[in-house]
Amino acid sequence: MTQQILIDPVTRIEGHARITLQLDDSGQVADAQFHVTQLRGFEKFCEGRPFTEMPSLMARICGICPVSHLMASAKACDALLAVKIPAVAVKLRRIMNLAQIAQSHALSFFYLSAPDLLLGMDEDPAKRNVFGVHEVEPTLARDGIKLRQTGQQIIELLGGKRIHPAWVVPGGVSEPLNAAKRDQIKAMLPEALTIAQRTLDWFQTVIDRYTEEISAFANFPTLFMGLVNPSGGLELYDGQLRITDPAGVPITDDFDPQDYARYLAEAAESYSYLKSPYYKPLGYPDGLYRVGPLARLNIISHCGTPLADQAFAAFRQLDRQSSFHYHFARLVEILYCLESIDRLLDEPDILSEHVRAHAIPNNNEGIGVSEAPRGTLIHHYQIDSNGLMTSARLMIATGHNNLAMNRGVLQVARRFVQADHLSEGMLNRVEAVIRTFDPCLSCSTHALGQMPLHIKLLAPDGHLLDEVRR
Amino acid sequence: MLLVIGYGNPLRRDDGVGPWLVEYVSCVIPDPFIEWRTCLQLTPEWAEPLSRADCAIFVDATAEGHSGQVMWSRLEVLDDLQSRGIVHHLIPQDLLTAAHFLYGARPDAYLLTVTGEDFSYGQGFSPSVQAQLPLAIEYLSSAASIQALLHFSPE
Repeated sequence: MTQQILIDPVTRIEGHARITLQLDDSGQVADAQFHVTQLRGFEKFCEGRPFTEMPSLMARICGICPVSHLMASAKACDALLAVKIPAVAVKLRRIMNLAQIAQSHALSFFYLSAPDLLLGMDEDPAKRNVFGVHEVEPTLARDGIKLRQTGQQIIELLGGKRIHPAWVVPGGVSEPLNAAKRDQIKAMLPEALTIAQRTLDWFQTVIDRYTEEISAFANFPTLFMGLVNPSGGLELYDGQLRITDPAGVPITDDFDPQDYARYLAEAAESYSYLKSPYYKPLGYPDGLYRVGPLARLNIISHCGTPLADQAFAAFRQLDRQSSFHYHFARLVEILYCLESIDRLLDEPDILSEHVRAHAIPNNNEGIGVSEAPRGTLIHHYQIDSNGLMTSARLMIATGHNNLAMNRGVLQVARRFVQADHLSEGMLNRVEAVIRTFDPCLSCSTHALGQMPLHIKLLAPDGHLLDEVRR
Repeated sequence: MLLVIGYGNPLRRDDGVGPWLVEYVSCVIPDPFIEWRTCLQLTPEWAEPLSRADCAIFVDATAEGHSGQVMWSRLEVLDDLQSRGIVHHLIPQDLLTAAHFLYGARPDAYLLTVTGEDFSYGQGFSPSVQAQLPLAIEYLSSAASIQALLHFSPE
């Protein structure tokens, strides 16, 4: 007799989702599905709008990472204008993108995952939150707040506000940086770097507690994808796309992100609104790949900043197939982001007032690609002769990881879930594997964390066998 | 420092009354001791600036009460920081409690609310909220001025 366990909703992720575990006759997990239950519709309702609205409009996709959508959207619009934006505008956009990645990683690590990592997967769910962390490690709780605040303040200083800043525009940015703001940002960085390094040091002391999770949290060979710079180093804004095998060896030449459609396609499944991109030459679903911090560090030869490179060396000693190490990779990238911001602010032209190229549309198709906190983000627009949008295609970072998340849920469920005994820690591990990817299913709903975990155990005829709520 | 935080979503009609009031009144009272801030929602990061404040006024929309009702209340630290177990979305008492437990601070804190009736997508307020804006402005202006005087009057 087959049975089904439903985890609805999945908690401490960005958005709405549920998990179904299908049991076989012997009560073992036979299949698992990660359902994304919300539909956003941005690709459709932006049709007919002026392309110049896209950065601001697309930023509304997400309340946590609007900056990432601003970047990809503005780059797509740059391509529509066919302009090369001023060098200083690239640097300023980079700074904002780096700040965004740092603050988003801080949210993921300190607020969403640290409760599991510090308090344990079996701790009372009422205590598994950032304030629960305070009781055990008050410094860690304060550090999380400070680090996220630093990233947000940098975004606010550059863009005028923390959420949905309208500063990144087609052709560059709308305002130059002034000396006072530059100095203000630079003054924040030493403390933030100290916090990031302290957190990494702490994490390295506890990581050995999680050997079982490391071995079972989406730990399987996949392809990896992300941007790289010309020297094969970490790249978060521009560069070429690289796809590697599980060992980090490129399986094709690095390619211009404009050519993404030659290599990537998307499949749709009836159980989820989230599409499943795959690597075309291997087909669906064999062409699954991972993106985001783990993938980015798996495809590069170096980060390019001193502290991050030191941490990167330690990262390379870990099992590169385990998605548990997304956590470690995030901490490495936070260091990289903070060091890179500092470096960019020292550039001699950083206060230049030439920050925007003006043009009318010169192309009817534009593609913008950048790295968001969760992975590669692609915006692909088409416009008519009046500059009105005729088509938008968005490949969101979380989507790239969809196949791997589904497989990861199945792996964890098979390891930890036994149908005759549903325990909180067991179910939390099923959710925690999703959290390693830090999926952003739509932050703009702002409903996470308050929702109860609801698990139903159903018999094949639909009647309720067991139920757990929190 | 007196910290005034107006929070809510300006694209959900009456929910945006908190930020609107703070932005309006901040132009009327350019007091150097008052820090005027707005945001879409309260998140844990606010605990740190709150811990540096002598006094705080939160300004929000609420669904409780009758439409357009303007309410003023004093806020207290909660006994248990973890009781609500939340991540993103906090209420002022959570932040007050976090400021106390995380930073050892206990600023005086107040909440000004305006009861809304329309929280659907869109901009602009419902007639009942619109009609009470002058009263809400007066409340916030007076409260901010009085608190600024109480906390920062010259010796």
